[in-house]
Amino acid sequence: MKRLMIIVLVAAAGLAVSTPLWASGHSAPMVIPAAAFHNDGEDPNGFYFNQNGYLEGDGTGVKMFAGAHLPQGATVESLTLYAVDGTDACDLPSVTAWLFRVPVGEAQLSEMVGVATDGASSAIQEPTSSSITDGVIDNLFYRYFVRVDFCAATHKFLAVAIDYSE
Amino acid sequence: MKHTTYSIFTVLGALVLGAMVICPIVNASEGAPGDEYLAKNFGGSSPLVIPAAAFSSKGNNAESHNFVWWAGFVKGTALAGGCIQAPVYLPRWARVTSMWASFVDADGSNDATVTLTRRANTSLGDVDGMGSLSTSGTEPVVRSFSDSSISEPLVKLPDYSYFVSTCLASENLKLYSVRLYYTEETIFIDAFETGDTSGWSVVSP
Repeated sequence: MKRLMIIVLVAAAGLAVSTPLWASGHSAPMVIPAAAFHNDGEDPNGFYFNQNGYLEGDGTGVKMFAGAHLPQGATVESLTLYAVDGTDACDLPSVTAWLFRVPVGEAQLSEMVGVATDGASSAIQEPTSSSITDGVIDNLFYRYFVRVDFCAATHKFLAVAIDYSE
Repeated sequence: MKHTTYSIFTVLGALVLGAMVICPIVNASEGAPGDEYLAKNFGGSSPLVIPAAAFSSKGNNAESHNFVWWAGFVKGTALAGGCIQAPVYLPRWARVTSMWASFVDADGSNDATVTLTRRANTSLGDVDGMGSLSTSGTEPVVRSFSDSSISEPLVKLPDYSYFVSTCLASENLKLYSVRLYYTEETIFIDAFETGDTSGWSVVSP
């Protein structure tokens, strides 16, 4: 009986160790690549997806969007933007990313967190923020999406990462 | 001593049992619906199916492709060069084993190529083609094409982001879906057994 209990306990431990990897087919952090983002329709040719996996602008500010599909009950811990901000000389001087939530039954969205590049440099910047408003994911009553704005051809948007805990 | 040895084997056996129970078995070649080789987990499991609807415009030639909503495929248009891309969401530490795609290739002059790419999020020049498949021949029916030679198969998040892309040179090239088969054979959450020890330290906390 004692041996059986040990086997059950250890098997359960093995299950617990591995569960986050397989049970839901997802894992933190959620990395949303540039390839996931689409235009709002106002300027469908105002950006360019480089074959090396990043989006860049055409000299005019452009807004891009992607859905954020996060597990029910997860807590968003941080938002990180990966981007090159090669110039301040554009309508939008920075590359900016926000995570929004919108009530399912209302039209009023609210910003959960936002980050932006700073200055002009050819290096990749990784602005991050862990100041999250209403960070617990509630898919029953809210929908979630990420918006990214950029402008110049030297604004290169690579990805956003949403870190969360379950 | 004998009791201790027995206990060790019991614990190890139970660990293996626990790992085997939870590890999905994934096929090496594409299976039919209901195939016992497919993992049966809801909410994201191998294969990852990327429908045509997930692909979006490359941006500078937005009318060069067309999603046919009543049939669920995307095709090129007379404005040649309909390059499109879609995100790939795989679990951290998954291992990609093969890529499949369904196409109609009724174009006698052009083929279509699907590429699976990973790009580093912190290094602009670090881009790897992981896999590639191409259509061939000319037939007005849906056919599947595949690539089982995947480079850099281990999914590393958040270091890399992943996407698939293709170009549809004419309206006779129609993409229906891309499927990625993968395994999740790791036991430790940080995939320690794969050799990635970045989360470990020789210094006691």
